[in-house]
Amino acid sequence: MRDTKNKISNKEVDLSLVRRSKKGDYRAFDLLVLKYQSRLISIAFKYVKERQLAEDITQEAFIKAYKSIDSFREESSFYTWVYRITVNTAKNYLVSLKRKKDFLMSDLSEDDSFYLEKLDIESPQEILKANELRDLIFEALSTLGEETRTALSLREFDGLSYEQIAGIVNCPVGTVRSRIFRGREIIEEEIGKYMDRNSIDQNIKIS
Amino acid sequence: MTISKGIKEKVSALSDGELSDFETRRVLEEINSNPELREYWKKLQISKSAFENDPFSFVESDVSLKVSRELGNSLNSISHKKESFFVQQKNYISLAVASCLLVLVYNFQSLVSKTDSFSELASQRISQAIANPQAMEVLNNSIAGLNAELQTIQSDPEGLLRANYVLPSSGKTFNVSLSPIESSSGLSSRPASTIAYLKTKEGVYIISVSGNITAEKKLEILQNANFFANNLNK
Repeated sequence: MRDTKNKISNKEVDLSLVRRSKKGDYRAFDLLVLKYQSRLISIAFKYVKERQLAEDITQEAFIKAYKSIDSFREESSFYTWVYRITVNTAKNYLVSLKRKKDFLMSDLSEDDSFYLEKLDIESPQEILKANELRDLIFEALSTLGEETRTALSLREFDGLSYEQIAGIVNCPVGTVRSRIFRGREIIEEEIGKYMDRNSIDQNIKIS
Repeated sequence: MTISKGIKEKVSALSDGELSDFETRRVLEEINSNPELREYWKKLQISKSAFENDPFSFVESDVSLKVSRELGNSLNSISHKKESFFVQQKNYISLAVASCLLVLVYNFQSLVSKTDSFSELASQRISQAIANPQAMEVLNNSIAGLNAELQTIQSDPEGLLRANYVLPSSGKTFNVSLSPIESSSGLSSRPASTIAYLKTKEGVYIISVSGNITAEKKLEILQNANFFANNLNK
């Protein structure tokens, strides 16, 4: 049983999926990919400054992670582990690129080299969408009934387990689980509406 | 496909690490067979990221399918790594599939009323799983002529062997599963599944097709399995 004073870490949350992945259950690993891909694409982007490359590096990092998941000793969280793999993959790419670029630059005119640098631009549209979506989620949270909002807040902001929340609000664990789910249902509905409005759903759905 | 509140609640609990191993396995099966549940998981992660104040988590890209496809090519070797486990536990079962006597193909909907008693009778005779090369052959031959690409293969300790495919021409996905009937309650509860029973000397197995393809194609897959299994028996 968990220490009731401690938050649940992502390490604990992911543990069952990690262990199932180790047994060869790709379905579990797929959920970890879905969970962490955005963060890792962002991390990779910080290194390579180009969206498609960041995606390729993240993809490569997940593939390496799955192939070597048996070597993951669970001393750190899965995210920390796959984060390191992503950063190393990005760095390796940059090392190889530098070698290639050094070679290419010797043959390029000044205008051409400016064009190469200009490719390193991040889309402000995405930052805007991210901010809008976060505002919308917080707004939806504020509309929830008190019991639902409390349960969800204790889980998401304070990182408490269902058991810990049940102890605080003095109700069965199953009720906590239902309240958290109800809160998420409402938030999910708002996310869905936002996606429809902004036509980003197609990008999020599996291509 | 409509998702029940109950299963969504379990997915929500899974995202908090609050499910038992047994429940996790069941929920993974459900997510795997229902793209809407997978979408629900993705949206859950968006809202959870927002609470963590991580704006970069809203990047709209999705590399998950590419990762899956890339790993699909190497999943066989990963499966081989696990094979010794299955070989030790289920060695003699390879004879079971090879000795299929009769394959009965039914549409699931027409069998609902009969399934329970049939399952009960058959499950008494089946206690072993079927993850073996012959089972893989049944699955591979079941998609003959469909030009489908294998994406991933999964198996579990209860003997379920599931191959996930994609039709490159349309992008549609489907899966074909083979399992002892006693561990197939999850399969038979899916209305979208089309199933066939493989009756053998060792007991009864189920081959099931579900996914985003037409009923005709599902039936074709089962007929292929039927044909191949009959040939194995000769």
